[in-house]
Amino acid sequence: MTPFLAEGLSAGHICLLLGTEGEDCTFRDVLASAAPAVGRGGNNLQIRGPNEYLRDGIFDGDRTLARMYAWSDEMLPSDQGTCARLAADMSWAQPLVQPAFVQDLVRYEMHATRWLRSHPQVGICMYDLELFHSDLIVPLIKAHPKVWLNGMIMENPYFLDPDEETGQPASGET
Amino acid sequence: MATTSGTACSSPRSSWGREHLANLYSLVVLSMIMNDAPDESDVLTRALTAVGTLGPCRAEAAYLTLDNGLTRTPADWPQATPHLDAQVRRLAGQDGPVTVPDREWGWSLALHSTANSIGHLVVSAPSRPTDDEYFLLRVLAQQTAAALTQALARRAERDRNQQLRQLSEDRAATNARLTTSVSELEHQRSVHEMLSDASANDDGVQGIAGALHLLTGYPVAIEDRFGNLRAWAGPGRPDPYPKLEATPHEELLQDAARRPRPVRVAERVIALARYRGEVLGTVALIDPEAGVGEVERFALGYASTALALELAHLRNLAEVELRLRRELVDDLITGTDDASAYARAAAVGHDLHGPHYLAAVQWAGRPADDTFVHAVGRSAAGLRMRSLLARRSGMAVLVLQGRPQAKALHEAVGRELGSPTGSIGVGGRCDTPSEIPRSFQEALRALEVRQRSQSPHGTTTFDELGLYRILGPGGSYRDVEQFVREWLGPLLDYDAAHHSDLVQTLSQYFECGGNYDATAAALAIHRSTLRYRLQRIREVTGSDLGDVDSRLNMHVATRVWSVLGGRP
Repeated sequence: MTPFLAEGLSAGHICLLLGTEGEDCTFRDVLASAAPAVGRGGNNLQIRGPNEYLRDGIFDGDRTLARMYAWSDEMLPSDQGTCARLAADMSWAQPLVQPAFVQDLVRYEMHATRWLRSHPQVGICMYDLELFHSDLIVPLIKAHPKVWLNGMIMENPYFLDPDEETGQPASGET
Repeated sequence: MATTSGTACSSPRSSWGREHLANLYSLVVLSMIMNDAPDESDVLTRALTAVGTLGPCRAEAAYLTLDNGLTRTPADWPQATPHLDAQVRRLAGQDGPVTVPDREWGWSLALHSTANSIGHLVVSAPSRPTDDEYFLLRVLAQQTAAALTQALARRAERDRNQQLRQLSEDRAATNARLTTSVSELEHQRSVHEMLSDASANDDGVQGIAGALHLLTGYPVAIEDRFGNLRAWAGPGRPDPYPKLEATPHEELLQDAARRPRPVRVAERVIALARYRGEVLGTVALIDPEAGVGEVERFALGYASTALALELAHLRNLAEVELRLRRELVDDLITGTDDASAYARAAAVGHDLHGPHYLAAVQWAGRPADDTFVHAVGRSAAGLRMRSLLARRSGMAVLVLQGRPQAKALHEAVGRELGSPTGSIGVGGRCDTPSEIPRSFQEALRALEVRQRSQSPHGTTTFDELGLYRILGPGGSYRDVEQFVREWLGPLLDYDAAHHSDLVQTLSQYFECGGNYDATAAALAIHRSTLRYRLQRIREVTGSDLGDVDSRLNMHVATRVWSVLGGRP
């Protein structure tokens, strides 16, 4: 995640790090150490905590998407050619995992894909495999066009687009 | 791990086909994840949690085949039941149906490695799944089996590596122990060699102390059984050397004897030199800083053994030498050839050449036991009198080199024994061993005379006996006494009745050859007093002092009286 954002900052991209509440200073320190050229990121690096996803502790994907669209509109005016990089640490979701939440989250991720396509921006959703099991990971794989695993990016031309969404990504039980 | 690019685009597919392919794609990714799982439990957990995402099925349980036994893994999976365990076990590693409460369809998917069953994945559904849904489950099972195989292989490799590490650590530990053992053995060999050399080089007790000091670096003190310093090695020797009182020293020895190893006493670490249970001495490391460790204690223990052998050897030598000396004296007294006598005496360190004298020593109320004989020997040695010593017929017998200091010897023995009530008879000079029997008989004669005298405690030499040497030899005094009585009886009675000194006066008169002036001077009396006493003697004895026979007999009688100490 750090090299991804550091390269963006070096290229003059706007960078947004989501989901790392209370770790602002720590991440900037890590960044300064790993990429001295970009220092602590400056104003081009924005960091927001898990509350970007939650309202009163409950996940609200529609609200989050609305904020993300607003952010992109503000930060990436179409006439300036500015690009953005986004990285989301999804560890905050671990305590919320249950079938209904998974369904909401997958739906959010599908729409997030569409949001990312709407602007000159690229994003990474980071799921820690030590925190999440297959009941969350497998639906998310199906919802993303690319998967980055063990340093390798795998294309998924069959990812489920929200327009083709037929219901919950899996009807089974866990 | 999931990325979304603004440049990605989807191809038009039918909804069913796209979802099916997405499922297959997710299984491929899941397979990669499972292949990297840290252990078998993680593989099966990921498989179980994936079942519900691939269709209408529910994961019921997963099993791992270990050592020919089936183990539910993870053990706490909520749907698993003992009943389900039993059903899967009966399938013996094959696919097959299982019964799950409230579910129309249940199935155990066998997880196979190359040839063996390595586990089961049990699923259920409210109704029989479609072929496509079942296909996805089969793929999941195959990918799970492959990941399990890898996990098992990694576990086996980890186990092997662990065993190799353990073997390596064991070997390192063994090597370390061997190194330590070799070091200890080398030290022990060094201790053995140095102390053995000390004993072999006739360095004796001092050599042992020196070797122990070199081995340990600590000052060393070796004491005898009574706490007297025998040897010291190293700096700081106290002067004078402190000696415990007899009672606390004995208590210290008894306390140390109850312990199997060297014992610390104040600033010392002490080991006893014991031989056949008897304490012969102690060896101590002086260690005020309490720094003595196992290495030093080993050396101390070994030194105590070497010391015990040395002290026992010395004692045995002393006993043998003493026995040889006694046997030599016995033979000398009874008579032996000169050449043999010289050789045997030289063997025990005594030069029989030159003048020798025999002395017979007896003490009133003291048996002639070892204690008595040793006291006599120490007394003679203390006077620097070179001698051979033996016990014989209730007395100690000394073969003395050179003229003895008989009186000093009597006083020294008296001090040793705490009593002056003893007698010493000294024989005449003998210049060859063959004369010793005669000197011995003379010593006995002198002793006998002393003991029969009025002052039986003291020293008499044969040379002093004078005329008495030839009178009554062999112990018959009756005739001698009768003779004295015959010639001096009236005078003796007179002296006894009147507390006078007529016999003494007469004796001195004869000794002075009848010279009045010399006699008066010797007796410290006036010449007229002498005349009066001689007149009185003539009256009492009725003898004529001018008569040759009377004069001779009375002179002999006074000489005998004198030899006998003024007692007929």
